[in-house]
Amino acid sequence: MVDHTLLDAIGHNLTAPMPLFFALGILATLIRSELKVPDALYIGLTLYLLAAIGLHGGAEIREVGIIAIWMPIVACFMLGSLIPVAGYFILRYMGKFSIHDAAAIAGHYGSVSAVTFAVATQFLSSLQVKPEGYLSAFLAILEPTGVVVGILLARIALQVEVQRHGASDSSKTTRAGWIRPVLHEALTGTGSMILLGALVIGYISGPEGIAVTKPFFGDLFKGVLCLFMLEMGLVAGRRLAEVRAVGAFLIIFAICMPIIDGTLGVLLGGLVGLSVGGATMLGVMAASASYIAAPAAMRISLPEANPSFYLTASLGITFPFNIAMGIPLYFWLAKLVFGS
Amino acid sequence: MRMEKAVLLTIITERVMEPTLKELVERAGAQGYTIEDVASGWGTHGNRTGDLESDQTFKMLLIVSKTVAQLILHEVERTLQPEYAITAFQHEVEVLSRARTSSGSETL
Repeated sequence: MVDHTLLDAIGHNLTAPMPLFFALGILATLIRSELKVPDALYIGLTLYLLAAIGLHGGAEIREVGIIAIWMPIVACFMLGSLIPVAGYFILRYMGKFSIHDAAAIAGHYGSVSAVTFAVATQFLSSLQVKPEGYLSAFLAILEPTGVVVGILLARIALQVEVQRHGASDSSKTTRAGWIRPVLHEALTGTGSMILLGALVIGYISGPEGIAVTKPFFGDLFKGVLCLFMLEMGLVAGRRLAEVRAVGAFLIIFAICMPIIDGTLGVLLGGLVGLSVGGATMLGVMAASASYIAAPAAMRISLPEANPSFYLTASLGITFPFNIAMGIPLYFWLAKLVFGS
Repeated sequence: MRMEKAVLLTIITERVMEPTLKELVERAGAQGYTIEDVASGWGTHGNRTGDLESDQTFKMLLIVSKTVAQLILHEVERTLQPEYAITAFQHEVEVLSRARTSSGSETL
């Protein structure tokens, strides 16, 4: 492992092609370029990336065995539940957000961004740091957990509100059967379905079995990720205009929350025995916020929440922050604490 | 050629509501619908760019009887309109009659 200061790590990260393609996307939006990634290609790239991540993760679980990773799995569930709860209280009582808005935003931060995960794996691989390969399976755990906890928080808070004030409109607290559509959305949406499916396929096939897919899912991964980051830059760039409208508190939250969550993830990862690379990846997962699965699920279950808040925070601020600064920061922290 | 009177109902709403809306119109008695993707839109629910699933919009077209149209519009107003970006409107139209038309509701 090469020795890096925090500034070295950030500099190394910022000169890698993935963040630069992301910056190109943002620049293209800002100067109103006609640059566009076709919708069908975007969906194709998503399928490719998640299939590759899932296959690799599934094969690694087969290699090490599920029993061997129970502690990191527990850590993962803890993160998925703790982060939205902490986020909710910060947003509700310090930021004075409504119950719906606080819970919806907090749920996004409990959930996870697979693209941030993919960029972090490439950052570590460029430094010859190898994290535990099975960690990609945790994406499938964190994604629905954060969303479900976020929605549960809203329901509990609304129930408490009704009991305390005898609210007139109780329909919002008693919307029946909410869990089914949420779980359906979280588990069967394009992204979740392909990720879960590829994990199972990777597990069944094992490392030797998936070796045949390496020329496609392995060697081309970095190039595909560059194109995907370009599209993410275009999408995030279109959100930047809304950043000023969401208020200073949410902007500060969207930068500080990933640092707190990332630190928690790194520390927890190290404590349950993950390597420096593994602790970095758990930090990245804890720090990242969902912007694909969670917004759709929140739109269904908490329609009263303003999508502008959670999309701008997760996609317009936290995602670029993690891509540029967060990933090297969590790596530096993991190395500082657990490096020896 | 025989034409018969019917109502063309157009509902434009959020992509995440597609399963809910399909269930709603089927329950109301519609016997078919056509779904179209909408590229993007702007309205009281802000700018719906179509970049992400939560931001996408679709359009449902139905040919139904007046009674079914009223039932659907009533349910849309009651369950979806308060929270979601939704626009619904109807036209009276003449539809080419089909031999197997039974309850006045057909796929476009």
